[in-house]
Amino acid sequence: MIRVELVKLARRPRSWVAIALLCLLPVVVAIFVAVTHVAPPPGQGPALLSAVLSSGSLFPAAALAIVLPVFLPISVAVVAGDAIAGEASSGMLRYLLARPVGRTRLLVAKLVALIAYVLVAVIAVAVTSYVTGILLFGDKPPAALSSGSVSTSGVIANSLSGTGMTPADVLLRTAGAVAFIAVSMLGVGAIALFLSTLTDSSLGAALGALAALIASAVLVALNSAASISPYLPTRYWLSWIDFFRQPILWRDIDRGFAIQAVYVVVFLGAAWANFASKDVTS
Amino acid sequence: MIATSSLTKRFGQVLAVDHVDLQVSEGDRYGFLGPNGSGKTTVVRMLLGLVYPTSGAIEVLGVPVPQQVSAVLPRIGALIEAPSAYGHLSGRANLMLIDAAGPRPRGGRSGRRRRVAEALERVGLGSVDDRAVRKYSLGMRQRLGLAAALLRAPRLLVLDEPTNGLDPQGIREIRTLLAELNAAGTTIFLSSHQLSEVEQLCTRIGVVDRGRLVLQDDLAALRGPTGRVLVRSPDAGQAAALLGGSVVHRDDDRLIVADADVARVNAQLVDAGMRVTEIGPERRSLEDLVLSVTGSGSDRFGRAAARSAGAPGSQALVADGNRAASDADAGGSSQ
Amino acid sequence: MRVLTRRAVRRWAVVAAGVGILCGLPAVVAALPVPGSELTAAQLRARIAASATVSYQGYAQSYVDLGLPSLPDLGNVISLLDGSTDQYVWYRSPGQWRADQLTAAGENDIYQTSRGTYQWNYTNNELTRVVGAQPVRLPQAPDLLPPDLARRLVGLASRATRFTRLPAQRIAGVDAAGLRLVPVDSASTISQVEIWADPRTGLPVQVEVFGAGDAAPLLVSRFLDLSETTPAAATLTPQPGPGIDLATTTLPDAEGVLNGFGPPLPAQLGWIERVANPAGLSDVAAYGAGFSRFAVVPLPARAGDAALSAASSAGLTVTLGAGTAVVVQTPLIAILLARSPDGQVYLLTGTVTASRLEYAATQLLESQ
Repeated sequence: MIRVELVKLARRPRSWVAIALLCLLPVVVAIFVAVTHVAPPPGQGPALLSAVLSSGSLFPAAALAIVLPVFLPISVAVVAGDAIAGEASSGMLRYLLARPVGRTRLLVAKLVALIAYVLVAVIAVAVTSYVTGILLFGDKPPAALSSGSVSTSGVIANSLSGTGMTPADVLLRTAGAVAFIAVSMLGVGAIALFLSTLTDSSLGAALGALAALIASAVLVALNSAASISPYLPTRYWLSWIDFFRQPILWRDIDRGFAIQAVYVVVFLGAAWANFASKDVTS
Repeated sequence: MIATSSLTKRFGQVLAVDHVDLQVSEGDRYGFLGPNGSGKTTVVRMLLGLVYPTSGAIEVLGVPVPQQVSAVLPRIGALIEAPSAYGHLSGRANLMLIDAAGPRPRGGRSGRRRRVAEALERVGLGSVDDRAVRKYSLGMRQRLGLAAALLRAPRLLVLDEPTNGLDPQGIREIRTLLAELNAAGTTIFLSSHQLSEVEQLCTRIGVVDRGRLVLQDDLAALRGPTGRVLVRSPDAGQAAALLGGSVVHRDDDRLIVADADVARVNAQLVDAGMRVTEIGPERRSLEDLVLSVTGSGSDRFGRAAARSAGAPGSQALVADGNRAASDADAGGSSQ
Repeated sequence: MRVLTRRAVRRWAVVAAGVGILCGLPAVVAALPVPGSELTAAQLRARIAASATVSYQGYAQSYVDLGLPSLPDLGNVISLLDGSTDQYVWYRSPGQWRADQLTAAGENDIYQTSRGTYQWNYTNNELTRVVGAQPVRLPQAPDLLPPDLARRLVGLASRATRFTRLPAQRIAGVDAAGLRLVPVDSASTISQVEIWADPRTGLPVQVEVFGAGDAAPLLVSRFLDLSETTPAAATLTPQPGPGIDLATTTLPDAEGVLNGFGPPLPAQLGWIERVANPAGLSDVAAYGAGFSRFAVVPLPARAGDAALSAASSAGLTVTLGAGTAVVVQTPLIAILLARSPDGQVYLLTGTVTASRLEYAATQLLESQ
């Protein structure tokens, strides 16, 4: 069943259009930054975008920072919200279940397909933006800016802590960030999947999941809600930047992984409890 | 093959299916009739484990449903309400996906292409091109849905309105196909609101109205002679006078005579010098039967329907149906 | 069929139980009994005071909300005292540590090494080496770390401060012993300070500062993660990558700005004694004792006028004898900007009430 779901996802043009759009946005940003040479000041705007001017090898991370807050969650919510509701509204759900495909199996297959989709999307963004970054900004060590500058061989970029990073270092850190961001999306995916079992409208499920995200983002930004913020799905989203500190700050990264695992378990469990006991009348 | 006892389904306050006892035997061509919204589809969904009953028990192929539904579903082919498919894929790709879903079939992956080709061939889509299902006509979709139901050579076919959207030629093809399958041992459970379709194919019918099974019997038995004779004669007035009290009803040149012996009535009339245009045993059409036991919502049958809905069992209902039919006839003649 | 309803109920029960366990886990861990410590208040106080040699590394968060007005040239200080500050610290000894102040997309690091202090600023892409001693400086993020803050507060305590023990609490995995400091001086805005420290080493892990009449602390600084291990030497040394500006400065902030303005400050303001003079600074002084301490800083003319006009929008203007002043009172600190008749502006600030600052400012203007 997992294979069937993967094939379905892969043969749907919409999946590829969404990924293409995700990849396109960072490219557009890169072109503007490269042409004007005006990046937002460090510490403002998308993370690491300022560092890209001196080293294109950091652009995959910056690109992820660009798509992370809005575009990536939207595309994930749309795919996950479509999972069950889409089958229900197209009328295929009843035929799949009468095949028979076990309801739990179907949910698991949908989740696996969703994970595959998120991975493909994030890796596609990372790869296209790496190519864009190298083409537009180069990967040479940044030239000494003043007489007092240090020059270190074998180093292609600087971490947030001002230390140099070798190509292997950048690759590993970027891979870590890619994995972290992919996992960060699973919480949204699980929420949308759960909503998808509640309603026959994929749009409703996707919007519901996005509403949950926006609520979470509002609460994270609210000081008086600080006591619950560690439990909110978006609380640790931006912690991928900790991969680019020296030493890597694992605290929030670990927590980010853990909280997403909790959300996936809870909402997949709820989706299972609801879907397995539900009358399929679509 | 299919047996339900006191099958009941409640959606919130609405009682969709009310103590239904279906009996479908191996080899039957069972026609499940009822107006739209009468609970037909809910029953079909319950048989397939899609909807869980509120109370009552279901057995399909000897296995309790929905408890062990996954054990029987591989032996059932189903077309539930409308056919569905992934619009952006071709019919063949759809069948490949459907075949790949669910438990591993007997032929394994290698046999998939062959099975799909066979199913398409059977429903007359053997040489269909690779256009997306989105561009299919309604009839093609219907055939594709049937092909999906036939993929695994099922022992039981559960079909909901299978000829919807087909032209007369197509309807005939499908009917022939179903008859062939039935001859080869497949039990067919056909749910429909099209009387003619059921009449031409089925050997046994069940009629459901407002969630209750109001009639279930062999079609032959139902359509047997009513014990009355139908006479048409230009001399209807004289004939009525001659036959006296045994004439139940007169409508212009048409007489209904309460006498089971056609030959004797004929002889009586001819002996008296009356001209007889037409004479024969009265048989009720399926249409009359079904309309008599169901509430169609039309004013004309409002009274009758209200009465029949309150009737307790199918045998009693047949009698009740008779009365309702004559009432209706009487109502018609008085206008 | 009832079977199925029951099955649905059972499914939801499984999910609810799972959620309950996941949500209850932190509460259960928090409710586990924390072993107390036998230390007396005086022993714990002594351990805290001597904890500067304890090596550790950890993640600390401090939260202050004073609602300070923005004053020119003090933006960094005000942001420390307004909102939350997250830091990661690697601490080996008083002369060898590193503290990273973490922001959403960058960081400001301070390295204390044997060769001097380095400051890394990601925003400016600049590493600054600070050479020489800093007799006086503006507050910076590491001052808010629980160990530094606790030792400073314990050091400020006078003979009149009462020390009592508090029940143990688990903080960042440490079964911490609590110590409460209550100043007796009514002029201080600090009504009490609660410090929790590792009873074995004395390393403070949480500090809470309470204002008068407030149930919630005005300032909280605590470790979220802590490990009392020695950090790797490589972490403690700045290793700038390519393209980073290196700068050297002798006095990065306060001293260069503050020295050389106005006349010397008196040894007493009325009955308030001056605290021993910071070396090399004649013009900046601290007065008072215990927690009711405050600083007096003469400001250069232009900065003074700008500060006065900025403060006047947030504070109260009062007349002090011959001069005028603007007073800003926050729950924890008071700020007074006084202008003498000849135009000299003084900044008085500390954890004291506004009336104490007004008294001091009146004395100061009279003495000039």
